[in-house]
Amino acid sequence: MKLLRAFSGCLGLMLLPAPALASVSALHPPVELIDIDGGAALTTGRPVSTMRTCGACHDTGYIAGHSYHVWLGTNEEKFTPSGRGFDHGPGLLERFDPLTYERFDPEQFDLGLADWLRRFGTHHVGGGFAVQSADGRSLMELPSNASTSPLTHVRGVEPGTSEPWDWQSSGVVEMNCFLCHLPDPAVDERSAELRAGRFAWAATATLAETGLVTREAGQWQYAADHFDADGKVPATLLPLRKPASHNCGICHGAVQDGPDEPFFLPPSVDRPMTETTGEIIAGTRIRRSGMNVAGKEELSRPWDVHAERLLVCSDCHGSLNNPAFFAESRQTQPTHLKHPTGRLAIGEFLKTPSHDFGKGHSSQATVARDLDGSGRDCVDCHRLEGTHTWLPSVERHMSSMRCEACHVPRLYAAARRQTDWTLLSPEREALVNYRGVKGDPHDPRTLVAGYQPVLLQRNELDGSTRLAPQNLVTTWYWLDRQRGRPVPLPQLQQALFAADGSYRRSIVQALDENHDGSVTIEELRLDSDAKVAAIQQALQSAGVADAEIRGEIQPYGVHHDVAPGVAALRDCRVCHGGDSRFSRSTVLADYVPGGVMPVMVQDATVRLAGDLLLSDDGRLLYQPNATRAGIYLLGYESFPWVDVIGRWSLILVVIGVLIHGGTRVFLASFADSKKETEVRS
Amino acid sequence: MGAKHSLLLVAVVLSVLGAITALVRFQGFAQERRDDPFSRLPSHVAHVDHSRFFAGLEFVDGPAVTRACLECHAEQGEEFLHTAHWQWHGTPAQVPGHDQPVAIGKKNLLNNFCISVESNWPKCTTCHAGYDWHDQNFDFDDPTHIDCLVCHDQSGGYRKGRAGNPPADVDLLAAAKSVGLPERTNCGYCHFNGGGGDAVKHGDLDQTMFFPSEEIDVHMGRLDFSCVECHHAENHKIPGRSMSVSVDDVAGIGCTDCHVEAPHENERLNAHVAAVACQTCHIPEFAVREATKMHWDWSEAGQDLPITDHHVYMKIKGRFRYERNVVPEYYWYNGLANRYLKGDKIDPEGVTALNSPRGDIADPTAKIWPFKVHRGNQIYDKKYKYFLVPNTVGPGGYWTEFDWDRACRQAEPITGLKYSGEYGFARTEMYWPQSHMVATKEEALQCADCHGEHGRMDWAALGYPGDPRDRGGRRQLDLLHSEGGEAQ
Repeated sequence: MKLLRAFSGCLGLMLLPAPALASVSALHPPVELIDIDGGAALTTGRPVSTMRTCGACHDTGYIAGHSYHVWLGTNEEKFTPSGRGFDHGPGLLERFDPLTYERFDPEQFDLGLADWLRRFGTHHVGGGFAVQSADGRSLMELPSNASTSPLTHVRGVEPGTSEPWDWQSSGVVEMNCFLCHLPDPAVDERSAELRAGRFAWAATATLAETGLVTREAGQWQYAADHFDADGKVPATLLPLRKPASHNCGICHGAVQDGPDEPFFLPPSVDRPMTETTGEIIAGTRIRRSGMNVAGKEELSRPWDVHAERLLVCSDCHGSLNNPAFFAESRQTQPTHLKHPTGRLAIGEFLKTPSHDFGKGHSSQATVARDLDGSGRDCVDCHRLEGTHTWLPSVERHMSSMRCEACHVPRLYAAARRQTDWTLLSPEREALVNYRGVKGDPHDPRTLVAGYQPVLLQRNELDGSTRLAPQNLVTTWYWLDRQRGRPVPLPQLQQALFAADGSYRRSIVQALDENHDGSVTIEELRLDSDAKVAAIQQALQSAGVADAEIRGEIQPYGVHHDVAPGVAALRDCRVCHGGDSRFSRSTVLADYVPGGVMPVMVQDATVRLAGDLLLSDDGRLLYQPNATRAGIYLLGYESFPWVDVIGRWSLILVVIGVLIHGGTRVFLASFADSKKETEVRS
Repeated sequence: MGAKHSLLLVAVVLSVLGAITALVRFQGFAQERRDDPFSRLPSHVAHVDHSRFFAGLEFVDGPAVTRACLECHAEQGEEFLHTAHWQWHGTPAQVPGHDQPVAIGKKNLLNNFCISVESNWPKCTTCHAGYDWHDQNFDFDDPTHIDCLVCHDQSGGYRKGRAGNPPADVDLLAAAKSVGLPERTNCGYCHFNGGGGDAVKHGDLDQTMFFPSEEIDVHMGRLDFSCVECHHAENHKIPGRSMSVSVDDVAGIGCTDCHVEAPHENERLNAHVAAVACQTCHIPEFAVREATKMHWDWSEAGQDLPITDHHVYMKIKGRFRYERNVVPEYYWYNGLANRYLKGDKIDPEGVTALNSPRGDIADPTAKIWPFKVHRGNQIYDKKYKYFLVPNTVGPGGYWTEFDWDRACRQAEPITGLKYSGEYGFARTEMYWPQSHMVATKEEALQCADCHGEHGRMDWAALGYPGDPRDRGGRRQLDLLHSEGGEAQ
């Protein structure tokens, strides 16, 4: 009961919106930092175990077990296949990601799990596969002298080699509660620990901003004077609370939830949502941001109206069993019920808060598809009644378009357009170009024009289809046909670069079109059979006997950066005019490596309804086709013979009315004069 | 015409009348809701060109000009004698804490800038709309000492000097010939320089307002308003109240003189107007371009410090702090104010508010207003525990001798404030409600500026149990008092 009462008190805080919480978070009970063996970390000096520390009150086992952020789809037995064949799961760990290229393959060694955690663990909250193997054994219990396994080994210095990883020494990456529940988690310190392979210390390092721990001579030390006599930390120093938007932004995208200060948030693979769509979650007016947006003086709208109105991510993507927000997924909720009938008591929720969060139904959100539609959709909060009164055929529009189609009329940031892994830049990274910007989007001086997302038919959960805004990102890479997987990055680098870090002579010879002895960025493209063959030859030398180029299109749904009503699309001609957006093609790539036309990933929730075309200058275009999408656009799609019939019908009706009316008037006056004559006579 | 046709005609006429009535009603309804501030702007009569007058006249001083004015405008002269601009005080008003109504104004009040007019007339009355106010013997019934030119000169060459008299090099004839409706240059000559210099006193009035961009003031920048568009005078009584010299809201002006109460398209914003003054959101910062004085410590005056920046230190005045783009402080304000009057007792250890807004969260007529709060440290009598009025100007004054004791003794017979011979310095505050430097709606505050984790409002200090976004407003929280004073 005591526990429940404590939970009840705390839950009251958790149910409050974040701003209010900030002022009362000191009410969170003092916390004793506990190490993995249950000892007081202050005494033992060992890393903090969040599972033990937070688990003293909360059921951290339940939380970790109900969190797709923890498992990243590795616990999903059934998932929609992407069509790649080499993807082993729907999530970041095992699914090919154009941004990161490398992924964990549990069946053949390419990248060890520890390698993945060191490289990409920053974007994983910890727990799940970072703690235990698929059979439930702790990673620290795995034999380190076994044969090469992705779980127990990491890449060796030489490409194609491996070496064992000492999980006992590194520890595992526990689910990091601090990362999301502290207002100011030390992200950089945590990342440094992960990169260094000191996994056990990652959660401890996250506390660096609180002053509870300091790094001295490379070791983390606890600041004893910050602990009370009982060895506990007061909530004033460890202000745990409901996540703010910037906590989500640590992994997902550019978030600016602070005061109205100028900011510059360019695309970055560390901000994947912003990188892939240009979405920036900020309530700041665009004109007052530090982004060099074209015509920004006129852009008094905020980046995102919901952020402006102080909504936080969890308002729409809240815990699924939070009694304050509980809403059953549209996939399972009976149609006759508007609200679910069952929900947890407050104390129960605090003990076992599900960390499966409400989610939408985007193409890129491939994990936990069974939870699609569980987040708040526009119509869950907004009324249609009394709004959109100016819009003709409201029902027709609403049934054929998602709200974002008009309310995200444009993204005012750069977004990735093309990723080319068939060659690597001198920095050994993919060749990337962006839409919405001319020049380097990472340079604050570059003018950002922004872009209008393409509208594609999305397969809704109720079986209907509606137009939804998307950014289409094309990717090309080499596939090792023998092993059925992308060529591992070390081998690709080995094929392209000499030991001194420069391009191999054979590569320079193949790509150097102006014969100046070097390869410029402009020359780094496989636009001829000879160049493709040269790279294939180089790959063979690096041990990839049979490589071919694969191209794909990954759509990214755009659901944020919603404009306020006054800035939404209101010009009917944008869709219905002769110059409709459906008549305009969208550039998908500046060039097509190897001439390989990309194909759409199969686990997308949208479908292309149009043609992929090559322009005269070699660019890849997507030309939408409204008819093929199954929609008829009044105004845009006109049939001349219908117009002719319409015009003549109108003319004939007018003529008919005139003849009819004229005849009646004439006859009436004739009859009157006749009556008058008769009366006189 | 048969009965059938007659009926048809009646039906058509009735239909047309019905349609017209509906249209008119709809338009009336639409107009009622629409914010059409331009329809409420005053129309100004065309001013008579005076350039052909005054032929053969030569004006030796200001009163000579006024006498010429009064030949045609005697009635206006009489009107002006009863205005605050002439009297430097208003009609008697009940000042909280005092038994009898008191006529207060610049003439008899203390502030925490140059402290008081009394005993310092020649300098302070530079900005009096009159001539020759040297001392307590100024004749307020003499219309020939009205300074018509300071408000009506359009030559651009008119200036005022000590005691309000124009310097000898001012071309008075040219000024007289140029007269017209007051422009920004006329009002701003004094009001933009309140406190003895540009941008010193008000926070929302400074010389950038002569020709502001819309970023400084949307009314004057984008719409090219002059001061008299809003401060439209009748009988030379110019409406508008300054809380520094008045305690009531008689003859005040407000945004709703032109704008409707709830002009926003957004319902949520309109709901704010019950508790939030327009200025609160639409003046996100004051001192937009020029820094304004925020702090004045008289106690450091008189030292020979190696500081030449007069925005930091002056030997005659002490140490200052100026700030630009200042985020206002926010307080409840119902249009009334408290006022420290000469001789009121103080707690020298505390902070004395020389004026402060009245109203609180329970007052349904009060709204949250933005204020510049000017903080000072000024001289008081240790024995009598009231603020002293030192003589700073003129022979023997502090600005000449740097002797506080002498300055206080010299002022004693003039001010009537007994001086014990022991003085100290005590902290004071003055509240300046902000109404100018109105930002464009594109620059008005957004939700997060006030609400949420990073909001600028101190909700607890305003009386809320927490952010009203989360807890509800004062009406939902039952914090409002009914008219009878009982809590609802």
